Amino acid sequence: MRREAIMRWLLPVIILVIALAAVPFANDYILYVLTIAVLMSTLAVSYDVLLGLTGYLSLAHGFLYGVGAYTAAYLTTNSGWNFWLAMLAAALMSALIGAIVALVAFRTKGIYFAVLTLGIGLVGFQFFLVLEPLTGGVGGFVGIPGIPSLPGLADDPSRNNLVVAIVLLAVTYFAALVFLRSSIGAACLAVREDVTLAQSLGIRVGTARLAAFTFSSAFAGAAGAVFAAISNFVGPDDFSVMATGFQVVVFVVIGGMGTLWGPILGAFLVVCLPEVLRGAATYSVAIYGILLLFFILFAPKGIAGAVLALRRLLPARPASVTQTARHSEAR
Amino acid sequence: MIELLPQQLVNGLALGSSYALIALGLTLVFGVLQIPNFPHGELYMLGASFTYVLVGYGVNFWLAVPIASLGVVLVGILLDQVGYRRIDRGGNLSLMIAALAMSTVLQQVATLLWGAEPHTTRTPFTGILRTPYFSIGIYQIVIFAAALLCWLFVWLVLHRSRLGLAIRAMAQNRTAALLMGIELTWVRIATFAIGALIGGIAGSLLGAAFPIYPTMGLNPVLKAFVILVIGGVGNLWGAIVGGFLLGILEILVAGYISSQLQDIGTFAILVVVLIIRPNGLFGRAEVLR
Repeated sequence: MRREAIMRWLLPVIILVIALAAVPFANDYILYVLTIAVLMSTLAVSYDVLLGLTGYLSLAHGFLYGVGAYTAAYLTTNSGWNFWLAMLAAALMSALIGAIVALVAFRTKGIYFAVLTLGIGLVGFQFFLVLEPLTGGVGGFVGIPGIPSLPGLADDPSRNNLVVAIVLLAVTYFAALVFLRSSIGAACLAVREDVTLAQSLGIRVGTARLAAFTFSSAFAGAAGAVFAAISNFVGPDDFSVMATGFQVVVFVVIGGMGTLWGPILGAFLVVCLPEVLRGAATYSVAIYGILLLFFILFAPKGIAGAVLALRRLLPARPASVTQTARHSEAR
Repeated sequence: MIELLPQQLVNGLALGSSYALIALGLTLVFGVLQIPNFPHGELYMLGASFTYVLVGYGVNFWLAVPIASLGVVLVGILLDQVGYRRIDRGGNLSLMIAALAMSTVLQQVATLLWGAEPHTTRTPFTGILRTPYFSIGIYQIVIFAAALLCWLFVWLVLHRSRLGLAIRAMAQNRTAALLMGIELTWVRIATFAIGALIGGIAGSLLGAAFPIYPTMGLNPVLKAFVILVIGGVGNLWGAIVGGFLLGILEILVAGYISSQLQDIGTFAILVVVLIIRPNGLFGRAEVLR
C-alpha cells in the first residue's frame, strides 16, 4: 500500500520532468506525439475513475469525449467564445450528458451495463453524423481556432499545446486523487468490491457511482476540447466506440485498473508504440487487442502491478532491513 | 398505409428470423457458462467470410455452408480455450474485457486477410414468392426455416441427449454438476461448439444476401444482446420470440416513422425495457447474497 502511495506521487513528477526536459530539444513531430499521449493519459485517468474505482465497464466514454470536442468546437468557431471558457462549457456539457447516460445505464449491471453503454456509444456516433448543422456531419467540423498561447510560448504553438495538455493532465490527476480520497471515492471502492454489502451497510451506492461517472465524463469533455483545438478539426470517426471507446479500456487495463498512475503508463505505451514501430500502423488495432487479451489473461493488474511486484523483488536486502527496522520501531 | 401491413409483418418476420438465429448461439453460451461472448458477432462474420472464400474457389454454395460452419466451430472452441477458460473464476469484468479483446482481434485478422471493403457472395437464392397480400424472397424463407431448424436442433440436443442433460445440469448449478462427476471441459467445448455452429450457419446463409465486411458482426451481436434482455438469458424460445418481435418492431418503426430511427429505436426499446424491468422482460428478480 505504501509503495503504491509513493508511485502515485513519484510517477507524475517523473513524467513531468521528462516531458519538460524533452520540450526544448524535440521537433514538432515528437511534440505532437507527446501531446496526444498526454491527452490520452488524461482520458485514461478520467476513465480509471469509473472502471478502476467502481468496476463498471462503460463503452460510451469515446462518445462523451466527442461531446466535449464538438461543444468546444462549436462555441469557439461559431459563437466566438474564448477557448478556456469553451473548455469549461465542454466539461460541463459532457458531465451533464454523462449524468443522464449514467442515470439510465446504472439501472443495469455487469454485461448489460457494457451492452447498454456500447449501444449509447453507437447511437451517439449516429447523432454526430445526423446533427449536421451542429457537427458538420460526415465531413466533420473544420477551422477550429487553436489554443491561445500562454505567456512566453507565443511563437511556438506545438510547445504551447504540449504544456496545456500537461496542465490538464495534472489537474485531472490531482482531482482524481482527491476524488479517490474523498468519502465518495471510498464509497465507489465499496461498490466495486460488493454492491450488495455496500448497500446493506447504508452506503449510498447510487450517489457514489453517479458521481464517479459524472466526474469521469467532465474530464473526458475537457480533454475533448483540447483535442479539438489542437487538431483544428473534429470528425465523427475519432469518437466511434471501436476507436476511442475501446482504446480507453486498453489504456486502463494495460496500465493497471484503479491505480490512476498505471493508466498514464498504459496510454503512453499504446500511443507511442505504433509511432516507434513505424509502418506497423495497419496492425495497430490488432496489437491493441492482443495486448489487452495478454494483460487480462496473464497480468490482470497491468503494468502498475508489474512495477509494484518488481519494486518488491529487486532491492531484496535493503527492503527487508528497512522493514525489520520499521517492525522493531512499531514494537 | 394499412394495406402494406401484411408485407411489413412478413418483412419484419424475415429480419427477425436473422436476429433470432444470431441470438440463439449467444443465449446458449451465456445461459450455460455465464460468458458474455461478444465475439459471437465475429463468428457470424467468419461464417460469411469462409463461405465467400470457398465459393470464390468454385465450391458449391450448399457444400460451402457446412464446411464454413465447421471452420467456425473450431474458432469458437479456440476462443474458449485461449480466452475464457483461464479466467473463468476471474469475475465478470475480466470475461467481458477478454471478450472485447478477442472480438477486436478477430475483426483485425479478417481485415488483414480480406480487406475492410465489403464483399458479396453470389446469391443462390434468387426468386420471389408472390401472394395476393405480400411477396417474400426465397432467401427470407430459407433464413426463417434455418432459425426454426436450429432452434429444434438445440432443443433436441439439450432435452433428448446425455450431453444435453450434462449441459443443463451445468447451467442450473455448476458446483452440484461437478460433484456429480460431470466434466466441465467437455460441457464447455460442446456448448461453444453448438453456439459457434449456429453462429457460423447464420453467417454463411445471411452472407449470401448482405455485404460481408470485418465489422459486420457488431450490429447483429448488439441486437442479439437486446433480444437476450427481452427474451431472457439462456431461454432458447425467448431468443426466437424476442428476435421475431424485435424484427417486426424495427420494420414497423422504419416503415411508419423513419428509417433513420431504425437502430436508434432498438436501443430506445432496450433502455425502456431496462428501466421498467432491470432484469429483462421475462427475468425474475434475483436474490442477492
